[in-house]
Amino acid sequence: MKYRILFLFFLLFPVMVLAQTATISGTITDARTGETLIGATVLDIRSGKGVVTNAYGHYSLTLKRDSVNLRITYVGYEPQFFNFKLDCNQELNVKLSSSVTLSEVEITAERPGDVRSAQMSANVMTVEKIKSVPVMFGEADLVKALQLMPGVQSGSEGNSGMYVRGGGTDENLFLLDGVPLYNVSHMGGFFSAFNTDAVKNVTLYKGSFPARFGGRLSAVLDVTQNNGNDQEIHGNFTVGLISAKFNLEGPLVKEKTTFSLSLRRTYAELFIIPMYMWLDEATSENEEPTPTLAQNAKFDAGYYFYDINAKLTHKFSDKSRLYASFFMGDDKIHGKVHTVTALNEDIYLGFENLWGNLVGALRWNYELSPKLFMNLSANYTQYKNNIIGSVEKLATPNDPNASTVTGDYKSGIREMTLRSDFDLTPNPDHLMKFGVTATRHWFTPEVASASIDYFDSVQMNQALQIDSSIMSGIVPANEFVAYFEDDWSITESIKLNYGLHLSGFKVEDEFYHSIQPRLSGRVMLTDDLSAKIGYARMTQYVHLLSTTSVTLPTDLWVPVTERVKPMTSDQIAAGVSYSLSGIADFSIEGYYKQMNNLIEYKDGATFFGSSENWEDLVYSGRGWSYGVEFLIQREYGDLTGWIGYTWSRSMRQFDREGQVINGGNPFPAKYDRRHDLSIVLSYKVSPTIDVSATWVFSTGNAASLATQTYPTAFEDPDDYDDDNSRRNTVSVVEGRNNYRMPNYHRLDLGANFHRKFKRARRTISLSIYNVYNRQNPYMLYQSRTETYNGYPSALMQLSIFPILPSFGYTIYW
Amino acid sequence: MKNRISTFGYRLSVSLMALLLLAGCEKVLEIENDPSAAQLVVNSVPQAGKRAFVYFAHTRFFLDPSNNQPLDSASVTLFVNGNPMAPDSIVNCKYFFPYTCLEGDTLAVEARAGSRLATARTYVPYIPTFSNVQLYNQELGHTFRYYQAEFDFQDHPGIDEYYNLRVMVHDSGIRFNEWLQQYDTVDTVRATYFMLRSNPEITGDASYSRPMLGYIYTRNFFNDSQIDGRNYHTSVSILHLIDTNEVQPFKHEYTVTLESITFARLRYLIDVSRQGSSNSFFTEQGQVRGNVDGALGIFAGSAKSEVTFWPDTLPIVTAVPSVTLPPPSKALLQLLQ
Repeated sequence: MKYRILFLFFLLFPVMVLAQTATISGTITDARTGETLIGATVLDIRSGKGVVTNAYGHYSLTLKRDSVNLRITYVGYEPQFFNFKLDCNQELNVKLSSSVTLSEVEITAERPGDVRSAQMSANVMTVEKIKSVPVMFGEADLVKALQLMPGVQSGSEGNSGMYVRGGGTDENLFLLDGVPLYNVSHMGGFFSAFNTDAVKNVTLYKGSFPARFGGRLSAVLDVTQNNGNDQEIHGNFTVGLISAKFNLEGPLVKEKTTFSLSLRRTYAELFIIPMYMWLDEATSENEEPTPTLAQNAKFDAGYYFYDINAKLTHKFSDKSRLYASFFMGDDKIHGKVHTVTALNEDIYLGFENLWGNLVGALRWNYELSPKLFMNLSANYTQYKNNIIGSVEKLATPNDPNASTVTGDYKSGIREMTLRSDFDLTPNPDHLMKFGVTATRHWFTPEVASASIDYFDSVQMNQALQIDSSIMSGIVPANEFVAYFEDDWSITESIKLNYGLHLSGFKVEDEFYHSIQPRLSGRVMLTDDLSAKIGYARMTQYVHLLSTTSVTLPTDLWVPVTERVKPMTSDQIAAGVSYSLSGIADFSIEGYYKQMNNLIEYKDGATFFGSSENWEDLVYSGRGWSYGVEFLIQREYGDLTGWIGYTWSRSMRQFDREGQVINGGNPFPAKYDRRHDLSIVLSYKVSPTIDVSATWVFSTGNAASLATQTYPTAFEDPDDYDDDNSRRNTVSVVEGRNNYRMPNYHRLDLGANFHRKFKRARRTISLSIYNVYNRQNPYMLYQSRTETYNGYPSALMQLSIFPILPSFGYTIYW
Repeated sequence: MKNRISTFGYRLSVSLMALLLLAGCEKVLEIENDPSAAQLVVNSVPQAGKRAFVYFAHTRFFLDPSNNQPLDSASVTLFVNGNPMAPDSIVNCKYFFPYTCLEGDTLAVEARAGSRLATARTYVPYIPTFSNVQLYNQELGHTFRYYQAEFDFQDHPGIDEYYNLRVMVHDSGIRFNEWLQQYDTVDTVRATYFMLRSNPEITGDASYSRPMLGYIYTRNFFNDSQIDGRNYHTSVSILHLIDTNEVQPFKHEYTVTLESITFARLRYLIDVSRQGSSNSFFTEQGQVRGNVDGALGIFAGSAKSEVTFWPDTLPIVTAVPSVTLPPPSKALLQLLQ
């Protein structure tokens, strides 16, 4: 059937092209910076036909040869109007100027998720919106801002993981300039890897995925980096509580070649250095050695993360542009102890863990014809985690035998992609996108090596030398994708986006393929009210092995195997969007998502330090989630912000033969939450002051808690009465995730104070996280030192972030 | 200058630690005991040569696991080879029977508490016997020592299904602990291994081992290729790091315990082991499967024998026989699933 549809399309294609039409095409840019504007609307008011600019700011609008009345708009910019007679193909490049204050008249864009767009289940997040949200540690965070949108949940306190519509954190595709990013967090998840200074545009898709996206089940986060100002050099420098960042952009050749460079680094070492200075002194100056430390121990330790975003753009002509993007971000934690033991052994103990991403992308845009836009790209992405531990014993007069024991552990993933994408506008009613992608993956789940080097000074030889590698090596895989989608305006009020995403994945001797239909449609019920419906099937060929809610560098990416099949999902969504002129936009969406071949860990299984036979540690099962999302959003005027509420349910069931969890009965997913509410408000008090507030509430996380115990089966009857043996108990686990942690809620406040100088301006940002010091649950554990209600132990809740003030100082020039 | 820096550093450190302490807020959560959640528990491991007893109680609220509270209107009957037997004493929920278990006994238990009834059946396996024990002691440089014990043991035809091999390593000696700045005596390190009996229904190898904790490592356990008829041949290999902090030379005493167990007990031990390692932030707590109808717990016979040796007293050899590392047991992995 699908082949017939394709055949019909190609048959009709020339007919559509040969219609009596002409095409207007070009690029929409910011008049001040030259930055291309993504999602700007180009609308012919006379015919009601319109398009939005693509990821490169390019548009192509084919209209009947007649008079046209074009209106070009973009949120936050003054609209521009053009009236002319269209009698042949025309190129129209437009520069929009940003407006001081937005009014509702300007909100006519067809950005994904907007009233007029056929795309539903999407949220566009501007950098201004991200920066308006009160922050933690003085650092605006893209992912944490997105967590405040309906349908998106954070894993745990302060974490930059995203759980979208009941999916797992590994089911999100993070794209930076079109290239997948595998590790999107720093510092165990407290910071995301996206430096907001380098970001131009962010779109989150939670469902009804356009056919050009694939590879993950639950969400696509499409992040575009700044191209750089093509008029003059600008920059900014920000100092926060524990990090600083620097951004510089400008033309290398005016209006031809631009660059954008952003650097960010933490300086947490400044807090750590005094700690080990104190430790050094405590061990060297005290007559009585500190009981927990060896004599004369010297400490050296630290942690930092950094990231570099760079982009170079060259415009060969209005039809041809080249983009080179680069991102590198690493976390490093290291420690070293030098000690001379009581037996005069001279020993160095060392530890180092380095993990991070490296991304490179080279893209070339070319307007093959006014109706056909092409983008070719070659991408590289890698995530690596490297842990090195060593014990080095130096030769001393007392002990002339030197030895070194070193352990090295590596894991990661690399991939190289060649991709071609085309935008075709055959007539005013169709905007087609199609393309192919070929990707070569190299998975390195785990490689560990150890070396022991022992020098015997008596026999003057290497008495023992062992060098070995263990665990799995590199697993290559190939992935192929082809897609086609069409944004079809059937009538003025009905619009359809349909498409097909085909993928194949070859790993070792296995080949998987998938046909993924995509569909979303919109009906304008009135000028301000639209109803939408969407469906998407998604397939995922990679799994993230992780046993914690915290993002750890030890999390491992592994490919599907013969036993562990690709995960699939089918999601339907329906909703209504309403734009109340001058006040706000409203949307209500309901969704139902079914997921298959999900993996869960067996009871008691952990991946700490072992990916060997990981297939033996997981079970495959299914899941389903459903919910309703409400969003009220106001983007214009002095008071902006949004209220998002989600009612949802996310369940799992593992009842396949030999793969039973929870007795085969359904159980709530770890991040199943009934209620999730976010209120984000930002108010411009004056041109120099704006304030903001965020309040979030969510149902507590689910956790497995055994409330009954009994003794293990002892062979000796006296063990049942022995105090030490009594602690050997069996816990009665009534069900997985059977317990609800207390509800989560928090209020954050922020204020920005702006001031202009002759050649620069500065912003002082103050924020308070968790204003009323709510002790939100981070984890639960049983304490035997605390008592509760007469019982000799207690169930404890650990909270990690109390009230937390922070500041940031930014200077722009 | 250094003093000024250190004073500043000290204050900053103290401030930071105070901040961290403030950050790490803990509080007691309120949770109520639901008496209706309590379930019956029957525990018993009848051993060849030991007096039979059954623990019969109910589960307890997890915040108070210390009290054994007798059940109201409770009674326990043991059936030995089909013959009912009443307990002759009851102490702290333990019902003792006037019977010493024998190899090959078939046992059943019937435990009542009011209208609730729990029943289970098991047997007492035959005692495995060791023979032909060979010990090796190899010194590798000044730092490592390699011990290997090889032995055969005799299987008994009949109802035995699984062996549970335990290696008990007793270290005796005094070591200077540089971190605590004190002298320590080292406690026992114990490791447990499960092994599947060669069984016509199980194809492939039948070995399974877990890495031992601490500084002791092992290489080799059973697989079917080492089984000659009903004679099992195996070796226990341990690489030991000679500790230069030993003030008084250690006397290593190794005890190898071989226990014949039932399938239900093997599954129970594996589940308990999993649950013991899963009480952490990183793993899901697993369920422990028993074999008692109407109650939690295990009723499973066992028979064991031991061999003890002192490797330090052995002459040092230049090489030990090479042992092929067996592949992991697919059969047991299937069972673990």
